[in-house]
Amino acid sequence: MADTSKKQRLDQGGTDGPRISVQEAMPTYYAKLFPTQHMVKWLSYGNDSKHAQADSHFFNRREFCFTLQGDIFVRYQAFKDGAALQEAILRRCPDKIDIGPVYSANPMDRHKFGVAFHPEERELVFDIDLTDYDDVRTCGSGGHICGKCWPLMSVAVKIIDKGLRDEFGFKHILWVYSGRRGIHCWVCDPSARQLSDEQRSAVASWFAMYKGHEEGKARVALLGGNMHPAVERAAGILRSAWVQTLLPAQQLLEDGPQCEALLRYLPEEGLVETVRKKWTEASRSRNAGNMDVNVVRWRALEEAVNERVREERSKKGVVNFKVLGPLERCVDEIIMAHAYPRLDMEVSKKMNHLLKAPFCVHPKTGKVCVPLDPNTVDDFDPVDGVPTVTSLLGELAAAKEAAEGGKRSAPVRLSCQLYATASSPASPRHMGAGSMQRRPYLPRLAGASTYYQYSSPGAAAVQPSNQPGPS
Amino acid sequence: MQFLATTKPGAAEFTSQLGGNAARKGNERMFSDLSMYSTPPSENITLEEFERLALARLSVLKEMEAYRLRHSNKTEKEYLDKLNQLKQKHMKGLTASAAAAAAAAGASGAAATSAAREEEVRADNISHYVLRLAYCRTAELRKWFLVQECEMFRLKFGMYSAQEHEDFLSEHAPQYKLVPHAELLSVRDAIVKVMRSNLETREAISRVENFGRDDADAKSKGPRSTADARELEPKFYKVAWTLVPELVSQRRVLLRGGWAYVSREALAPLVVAEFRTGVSRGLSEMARRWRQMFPAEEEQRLQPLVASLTNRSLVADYSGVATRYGDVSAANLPQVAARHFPLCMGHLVSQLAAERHLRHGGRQQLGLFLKGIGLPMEEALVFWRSMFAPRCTGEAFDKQYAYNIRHNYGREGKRTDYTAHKCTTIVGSSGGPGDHHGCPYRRLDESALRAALGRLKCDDRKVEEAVSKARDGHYQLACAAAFEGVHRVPEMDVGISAPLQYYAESRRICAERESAAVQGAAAAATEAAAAAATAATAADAGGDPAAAAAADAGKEQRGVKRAAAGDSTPGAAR
Ligand code: SF4
Ligand SMILES: [Zn+2]
Repeated sequence: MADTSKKQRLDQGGTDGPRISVQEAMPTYYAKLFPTQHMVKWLSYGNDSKHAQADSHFFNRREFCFTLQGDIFVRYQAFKDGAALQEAILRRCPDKIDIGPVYSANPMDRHKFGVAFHPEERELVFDIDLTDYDDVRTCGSGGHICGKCWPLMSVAVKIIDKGLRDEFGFKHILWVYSGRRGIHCWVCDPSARQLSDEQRSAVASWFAMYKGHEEGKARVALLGGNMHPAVERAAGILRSAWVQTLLPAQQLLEDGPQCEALLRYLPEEGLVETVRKKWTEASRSRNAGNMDVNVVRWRALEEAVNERVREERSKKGVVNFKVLGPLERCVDEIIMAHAYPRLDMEVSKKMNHLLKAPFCVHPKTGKVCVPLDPNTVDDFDPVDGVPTVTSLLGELAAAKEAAEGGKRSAPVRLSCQLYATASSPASPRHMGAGSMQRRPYLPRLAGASTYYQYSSPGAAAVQPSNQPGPS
Repeated sequence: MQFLATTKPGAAEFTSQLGGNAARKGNERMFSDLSMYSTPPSENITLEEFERLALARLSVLKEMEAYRLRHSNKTEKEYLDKLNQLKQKHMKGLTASAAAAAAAAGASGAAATSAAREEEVRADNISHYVLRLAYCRTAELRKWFLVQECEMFRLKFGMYSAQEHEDFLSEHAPQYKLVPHAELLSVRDAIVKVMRSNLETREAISRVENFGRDDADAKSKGPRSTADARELEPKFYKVAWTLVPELVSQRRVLLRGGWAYVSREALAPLVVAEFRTGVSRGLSEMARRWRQMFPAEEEQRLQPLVASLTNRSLVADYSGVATRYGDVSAANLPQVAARHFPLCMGHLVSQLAAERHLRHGGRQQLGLFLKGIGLPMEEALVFWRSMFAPRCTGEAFDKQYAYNIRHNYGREGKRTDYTAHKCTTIVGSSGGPGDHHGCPYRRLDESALRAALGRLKCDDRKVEEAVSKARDGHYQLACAAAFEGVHRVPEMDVGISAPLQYYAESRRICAERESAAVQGAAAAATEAAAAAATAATAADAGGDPAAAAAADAGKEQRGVKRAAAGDSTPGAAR
């Protein structure tokens, strides 16, 4: 989708359309745009009537939770099929829809089963929220999100997506913008859905480096000076993002409390002095003007640290690792402490944790929780690049008008594209989990840009041929 | 009988254990002493063999448990030695066909060894499954059995060499795949990084680091050093990461495409955990299907037999005591009591002498025991009457107490022949402040216990051992320690399980010492020393002739045990 068309669409939605509230827009949104059928197809994982070995009650055992206006939670909803789900959504018009696990029985009948009622499977999910970065972001806090803190999210997507694929062997991974200030991840491989709570915790811990705060510093688990290959891989991604986006966007080294806090990560007082001196020199030099001051200062800091490391190494006698270790680590420590993904561990650990469904609408901002493509996540604009419910309805109205005026135009649509694939994932599974063999059909969450489609009347009315639209 | 055990629901048939072995003969190495027990035996065995194998394994497990409780600070090697020694003692040559197989293969040594091994596998598997059957019935039994079996597995598996691990895993747990040489080379550097990040020892790291680097050197040094190098080579196994969540959560492994690379050293606990899960699941499964475990035509005979295995005392039936040392009378009872009674009975006798009275619980505990050691009923009446005097007149005694004594001897009322209590009953019995029955190791406080043992002239070291065992709630082990301290004998393999056992052992030892003394100390010493060398507890026996004689006698005793166990029929077992 070209940037210009995006802008155009938003402008139209924002100015031309009738000004209606998010709540007023929801019934129409649910009726015309929310891709219920795609969601059902995804969450059924092939257990629909078309497949011989399908478990026809599979979808019916999935918990949905509706949040109705006034923060009323209605848990343990279950639906026979897409039509039933659609009917309930239209009737109750929830502010939010959460997806829970597939239980051993229909959650509506849970009282009949007592202790035998238990979650059986569930996507492995992750939740990363910018509020958890409030101590290290300078552009805002709380519910705030902007182009300056988005790089923190995009680097998290890249690190975790790669880890899930290369290290854990997962293939079916869906990333979603959470509608406000964070991101969600759904890992849908059969083996991921079967994971026990203990195994889920293990994955979450594998990705967790941030270990809370201590003496005004974020503590990251860097044992000794040697990094685990997985951490090293993440550090590689972080190092380049640090200089390219994070540092300039967050302006961490401009004078102020943030900069002072960062300098505290340097292990020696003398080193801090050297760094300050270098910064003063740099500000006097002429060519500093062309480069971002944060990057200039960072280079100077790195240089100072490297000089100290060389000095320590060239000392006669045995190397003092008590001194050398912290010196060698400190640069990576700064980067890790400020930018390493901070997961909300609790969400990932338990099979029966609820998570907001994709394509929900945030009740305050009206933003739609659209899927993200990990390959282009850097370009995602969480402020202006996300369709809102009102902008989409505006487009819809404009399209209708155009059609009435006899002009041809592309329909506005959201879609969560699914593909059938014959090959099941080749990741190793626990020996006992033979039951997965029963389901030869596995919907594959399609690559990136096909996750959601919308076309404005002004855009070229071409639908990619390989993507069937929602019926 | 046909052993119908099954761990896999829905599987109708199992490969016969023998068939399985035949198929595996290609492997030169067979594991005679370790298995994951994933395949139940399916063959016909005699009822006698069924019981014999079960009791033998039970003896190994129980004696190993007792050994561990008494020696909590031995090395793994020492525990393993003990285990092997116990296996040798109880399980060797037990199966009916073992002798036949050995005889048939008399001509060829190799064939004999292989046949013997096959027999061991068979005995090991059958005995494990029979005990599973017996111990699946309550949560408590399952727990005990699981702990003992896992401990045995852990001990053996933990002491395996690299080659043995490789063979065992490829045969019994193929889900753990050995990483081939070339692949290990390709991930070597990444593994080194993982090890470094986990601050592993420098030796361990350098072993991996040097892997594949000095192949050329090794070859030039000739085949010998190559072989040595192979044994030192690091071994890694590829395991689905879901099997090792703990290692994953601490980032202790290298992960690639869902596979975790786990070192041989880190693998052992995982295999033990898997063993535990398998046995535990099997036990629960059996408990659920308990009724279906027995073929209909055998149910009547087998079920009580299996059920009795768990509460059967593993020591011989001491009913023979009364006839062998049947010289007890009211007149010599005080002397006999002082020399041979366990604390529970000695304590009652002295309380009775002091207070001229005993309450009901005490009278029952002591009375049945006296009957057990062969005190005739008439003598018993004399004894109790004299002890109750002068507080209680003869007339009052006859009215109040005589009936009960005759009743115990089966001469009144229902005429049941009551037997003496075992330790478990006595330890479990409780009483008020005026009661003196129960087990003193449980009921007395530490200073009273020390004083009581001191009066018995128990060796000081053993007094302390007994007190500390009692403190930890191991009353029967405490009693065994006291026995050893009083009689100056080396360690007994099991705890005391009945006051009658204590008495019988005591009588036997004293009788032997007396006859040895008569025959002349010198001759006995030489003989006993030779015997001691082969005795199980030779280490402790040292040069003490009496102790050595006792150890030797202990061997005889075990012979009795085994015969007794073999003789018993399901009906007789209680
Ligand atoms: S352990 Fe048994 S024999 Fe020893 S004192 Fe206690 S009850 Fe008596
Ligand atoms: Zn921001």
